Amino acid sequence: MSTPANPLRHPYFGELHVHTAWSLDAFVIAALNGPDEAFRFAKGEPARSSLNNAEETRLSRPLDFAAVTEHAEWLGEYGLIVDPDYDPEDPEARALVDRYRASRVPGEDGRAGNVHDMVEVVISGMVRPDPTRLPIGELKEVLDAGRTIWRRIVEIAASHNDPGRFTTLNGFEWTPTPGGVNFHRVIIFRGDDVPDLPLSNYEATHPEQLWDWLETAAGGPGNAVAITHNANFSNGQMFNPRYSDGREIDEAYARRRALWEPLTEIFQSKGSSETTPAVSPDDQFAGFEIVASQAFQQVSGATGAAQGQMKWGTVRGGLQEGLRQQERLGVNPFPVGFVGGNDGHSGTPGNSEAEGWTGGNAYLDDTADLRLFGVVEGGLPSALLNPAGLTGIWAEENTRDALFDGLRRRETFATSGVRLAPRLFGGWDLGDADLRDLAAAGYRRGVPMGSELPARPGGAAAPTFLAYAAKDALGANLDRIQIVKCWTDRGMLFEKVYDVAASGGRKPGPHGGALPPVGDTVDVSTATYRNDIGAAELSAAWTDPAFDPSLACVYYARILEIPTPRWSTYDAVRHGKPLPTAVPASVQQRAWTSPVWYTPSERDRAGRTAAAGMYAVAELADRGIHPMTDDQIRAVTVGRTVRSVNLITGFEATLHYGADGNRSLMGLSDRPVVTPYEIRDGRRIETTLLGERMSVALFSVDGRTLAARDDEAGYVNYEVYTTG
Amino acid sequence: MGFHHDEAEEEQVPFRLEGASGADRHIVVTAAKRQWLDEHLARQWRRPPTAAESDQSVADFVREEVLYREALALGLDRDDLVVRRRLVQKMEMLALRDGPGVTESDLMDHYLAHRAEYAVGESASFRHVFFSVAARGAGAHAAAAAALAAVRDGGKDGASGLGDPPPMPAEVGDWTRSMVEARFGAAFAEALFETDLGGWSGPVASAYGYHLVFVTRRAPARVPDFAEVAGRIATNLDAARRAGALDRIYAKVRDSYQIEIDPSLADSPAHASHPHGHAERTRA
Repeated sequence: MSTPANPLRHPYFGELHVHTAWSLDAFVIAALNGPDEAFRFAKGEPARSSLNNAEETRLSRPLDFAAVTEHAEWLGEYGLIVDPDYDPEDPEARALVDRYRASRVPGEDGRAGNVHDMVEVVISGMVRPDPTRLPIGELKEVLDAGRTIWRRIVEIAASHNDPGRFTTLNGFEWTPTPGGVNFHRVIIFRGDDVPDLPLSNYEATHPEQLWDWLETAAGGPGNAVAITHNANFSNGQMFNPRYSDGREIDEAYARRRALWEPLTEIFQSKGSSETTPAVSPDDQFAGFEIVASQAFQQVSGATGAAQGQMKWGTVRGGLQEGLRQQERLGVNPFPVGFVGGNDGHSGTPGNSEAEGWTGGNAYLDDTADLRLFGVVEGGLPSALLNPAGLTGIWAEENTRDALFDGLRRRETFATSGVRLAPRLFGGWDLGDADLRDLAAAGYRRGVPMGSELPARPGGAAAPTFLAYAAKDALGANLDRIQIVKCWTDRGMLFEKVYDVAASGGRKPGPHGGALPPVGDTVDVSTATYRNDIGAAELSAAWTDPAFDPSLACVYYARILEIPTPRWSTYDAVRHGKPLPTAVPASVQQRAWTSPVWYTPSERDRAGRTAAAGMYAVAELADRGIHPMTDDQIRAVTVGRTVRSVNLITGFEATLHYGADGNRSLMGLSDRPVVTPYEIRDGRRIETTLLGERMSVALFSVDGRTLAARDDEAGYVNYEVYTTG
Repeated sequence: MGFHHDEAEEEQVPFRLEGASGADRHIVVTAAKRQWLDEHLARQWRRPPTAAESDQSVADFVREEVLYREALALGLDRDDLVVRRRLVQKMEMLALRDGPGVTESDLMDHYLAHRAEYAVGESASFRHVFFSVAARGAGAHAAAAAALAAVRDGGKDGASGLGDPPPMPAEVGDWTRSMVEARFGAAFAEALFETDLGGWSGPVASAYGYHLVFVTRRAPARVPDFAEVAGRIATNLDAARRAGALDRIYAKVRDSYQIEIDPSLADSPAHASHPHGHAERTRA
């Protein structure tokens, strides 16, 4: 007998994103484990992180499920390289194959994989706008070898699938990186019904092409799902509402993206994509495992996006942009649930534990010195990376079908590597009394994480959320549960973080406000902590105190553990090394639930009464009021000092538009911030403080001067006063 | 695959397009062949092809067939690495088709020889009533102890309304020790596997509080029955059979070949550098 299928569902922890030596970029850095060793590691057997690393590591407990997701790009090339009978006649191919093979032989320093230039060979063909294959074999040879390798991976996965105890899923990574910008997706399949070869960036460089393939070759939405990852490495592009060719997205795009990409990896070894302190300045806990901005540009070689645009390179920004686009298109293009992953290249799925981590990228981090003080390709300090995140799936049982259905439902959560299990249900008549049996009440009278709230009943004033979290049974206690709310109003994006439950009798106020810190028991000198603060479980029934039924919004829960030593602190103490200075010594590990969305009905939307003096561009056009001409804009702009007031937030800025084409923003620091502007095509095109290009139309309305930004969905949100 | 590859095959041949002769210049596309082409399209795209797609695939087939026959007549298949490897691959398929399938007795033989590899750790099935430290603080232990009598009165089903909602299933079936550890903590697992069967006992401490437990079944580490693992063994054996099929044929015919290797050329050092095992995996 096994545990009966549980209609109230159970949290299963596992891996959906890991590479083994069968990914060519892992092969050349001396990765040791293949898919078979990787699944064994996931089931609790020991493994080494590279050919050079004698130290074995093992999970403190097995995973419940795992997928091995090799890069589709070089499956065939890999197959030819490791085939001792493969002996190309072409001298260029011969030389390259020999060099790849030589990467497995220890060099003068006794270490295999000492071939950074080989890594560049693997990557360089990929970052071009039109990716080129490695000149290793004829195309047909490469594709045939790729099919053989792929078939073996699927067979190995099948041989480890043990329903009820350990589930294997089939998947791969599609890895287009045009111009160094990350558009990667992991594809996961329901079962063994898979295409004969995965799709690579040589066949498809844009997500729209990936979706074509998923629809046809991969068997449709019931059989496959695509998961975006590393929004933080996308140069602000992951949730940019544009087609790959730059056109603004339309309803068709929104429908297809929502269908194929219901999940995003919010956390992995290359950092958190949730948000950043710059994007969310009011979020006290935003600064967690951030590896974006300069580090991204160093690694990718991409030219930097404006900081303002970086919002689209965060998951929180994506949720917000999704709501804004939904108002415009009727469909949310980015209704993403959350998963967490590894993305390491050592074939060690689920190797996410901070204590005793021995590295996850083979040659690049297989000694303590490399992990703490080394750099990975492109100059990114290794210390900024972390072991890995994990995916949690709420499912009735631990089988391929039940887990895949959980992914499709988005009833998933991500953790920064710990096995902390959170729940979240939203509904219109839930309350404190339901905390006693929250799953039964939540499923019966509400919806779980990953869903949209049911239509609002007439009398319901605001939604209530049942949030619950149990600590990692072998890990640290919990500090607090937070609910992050994002919404859009008149084309502007808003967010607020509420503390809803906290340990030790700390009481959050209904409208947020600072909760006292939980404390910190970490002893950095010994890399230990005492688990005598925090709570083993936390729960709350929380009602949104600022709910406006006319506005679309989205909620997710974030659960923080008490501070524990960061992996780098454990590593430094274990090996007698100094602590790296670029990273904190302790961190608050965490989990993120998939969101719950609210969409207002037509009636709810109509209930919104615009404040007096507030307009949309279309309303002004109906009244015959059109944007100012270039000359009219010049008259109220050039050589003038103006005060610009945001009519929603009240934010004010004083700006001087010089005749020299420069705009000076006054009052933010002791000297003005100077950025260029120009006036053309009936618009004033400016560069904002955050480096973003913004295009503004001006209107003269009843003696007032009003302004509308082009990215705020056609709302006129600013009033401009000329002061000099 | 839904995308076309740019298969620019190298053409280095001085063309004399009169290679094929006689019957080789007669191409018949039978109804069966057309059906096969349609099925091929349907498999690729997971929908039936349109009439236009179907006609196009016939035209493509004829074009390919004409060029293929010309190429054969010109002897282009000889000494071509791709053709060689493809034919070798077909030998493998042949070997798999003609070779012995996996029989029930193969499965049993494998099971008997390798059953230790399929062993399952000791496991337990139990019910429990939970008293949360987060909810009750220091009183959780006392509350659990006080409830023991009432729970015992209820027999195996315990008593309703006692305890707190647990962070894990209230009824657990056949979990191994590592599964119990992962969800309840190590101390709980330790205690659980020493608890007597068939009655309520406790309180037992976990990572979350105290539990009254009723162990209904406990199984020592065991080797599963044949029937339980036959499916997995079949998968494993099938993979091994693929890997071995060509070796078997090769071994059979190799000795009938006379092979001379010029000793003056040393092996490339790269050949010594393969990661163990990879070569076998990819030979498939």
